[in-house]
Amino acid sequence: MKLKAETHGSVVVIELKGKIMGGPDANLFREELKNHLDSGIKKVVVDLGKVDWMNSSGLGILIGGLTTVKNANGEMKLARVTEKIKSLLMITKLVQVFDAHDSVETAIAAFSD
Amino acid sequence: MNILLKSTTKISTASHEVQVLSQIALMLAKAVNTPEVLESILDGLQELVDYDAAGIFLLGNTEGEIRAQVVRGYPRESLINVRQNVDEGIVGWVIRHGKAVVVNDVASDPRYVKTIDSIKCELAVPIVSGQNILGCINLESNKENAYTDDMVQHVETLASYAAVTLERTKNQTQLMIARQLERELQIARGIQVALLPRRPPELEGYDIAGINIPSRDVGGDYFDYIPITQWDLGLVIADVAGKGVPAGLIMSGLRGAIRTRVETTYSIRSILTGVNRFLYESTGPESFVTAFYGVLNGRNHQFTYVNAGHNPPMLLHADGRLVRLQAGGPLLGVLPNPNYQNATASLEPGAVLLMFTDGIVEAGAEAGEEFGDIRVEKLLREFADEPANVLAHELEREAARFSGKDGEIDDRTVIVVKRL
Repeated sequence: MKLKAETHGSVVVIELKGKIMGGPDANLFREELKNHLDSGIKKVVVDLGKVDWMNSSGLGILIGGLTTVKNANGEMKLARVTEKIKSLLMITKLVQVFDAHDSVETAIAAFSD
Repeated sequence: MNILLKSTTKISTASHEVQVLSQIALMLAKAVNTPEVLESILDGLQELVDYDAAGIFLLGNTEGEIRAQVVRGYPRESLINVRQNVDEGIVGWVIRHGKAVVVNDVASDPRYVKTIDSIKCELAVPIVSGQNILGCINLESNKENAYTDDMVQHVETLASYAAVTLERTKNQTQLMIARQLERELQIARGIQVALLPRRPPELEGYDIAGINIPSRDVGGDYFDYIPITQWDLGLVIADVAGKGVPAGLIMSGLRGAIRTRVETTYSIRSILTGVNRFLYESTGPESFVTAFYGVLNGRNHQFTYVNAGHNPPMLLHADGRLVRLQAGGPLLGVLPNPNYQNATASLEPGAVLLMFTDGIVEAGAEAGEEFGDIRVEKLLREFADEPANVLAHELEREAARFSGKDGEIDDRTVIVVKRL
């Protein structure tokens, strides 16, 4: 997994790339989130458009990320969710837990203020 | 006469040196750990090169850190276990540059760090293995100009012995740790195997089979048959996120949580609500379990189940209709208060119920293509008339074959229930 972050005003867009498989990827993502949350950025968009593949451990990374953000009173949204991830969210019935958007722009626009 | 005497002395000195060096080589060949190696080298050096203080320093695990491993002649507390930086002292310079250094007058060398007042002269030689500098042998003397070229050569010879032996003992230590770990994994695997059913359950009018092939020595998949009454049989299949010992530990906790609740609670959704609560409270947010639990009644052939975020089992009816058992709720261990719903399916004669974990459907995904639901369904239809264990093994084997050399990546678990 590769990770790239870009801030747009009060929102950080974290782009994940490649295969998301759990293990060390989880720490990488959590550290990235913590850095932004600590610096006061509480609105996070996770861009999944370039994720080739994700297994259930990879899903754990997103769940862990959501918890980290919520615990810091932040908000996390998903953007450009691929078919594979959509089907994982369907099977695990987590569709209602994640706020998923078709594009990064609509995800950013969807933050409450 | 004089000349002859001198050369004889030289020969005898040389043969003494060869003897000492070969003795050290023998000692080093027997050494099994780092301190033993380094002590042997300082012992041997004493025979060849005079010193008042000596130490062997190795690069530490932290970058730029040097640790004194064995020392002689220094006030002990001043050096042993003291960490110094690669930027400091003559020792630091030698390790940085990989070159031997003789300093005949330490007082005039700005690199020198004073530890003993009487020291006049210092010789430091790097311990080099291939491209890597492992450390340095350092000798100090109270005499001026104490170190000759011959002596430098001896220390260099010993430094090369040290390098070879240190690499060897390092590999041995790593091998020992790996073997120990391997043994522990085998024990863990043994415990886990004992937690899975050894034989299929007996339920009149049904043919049932289950298999579990773990990815490594310890897996995160779990399946179980839990007899509830003479006619009611509980069936569980679950997949703990992750692999190895951590997943195995959660799996054994999950088994306990399910089994104790099944004994006291009949309502399937209450059982899963309780298990979810248990996992939510006892694991971190990245840890979760997808699970499917159902109770089959062997008299009315009703199968009541809850699917908690698990790959939906397939129910193939005798007339060829295929139903996927999706109803239930979210996966376990992530949400504090999820809602689980029961659903019921009827198993008519000839019906085949196939449960599996994602190691089956996701086989081969690493290489770019998943085994996928379509192949699972095709095999189910193809082997529906065969005994349950034939279908279970066929599906597992096909998925393993499909994933090729990646076959070790995920656990594969299958349960087949056939109504005769």
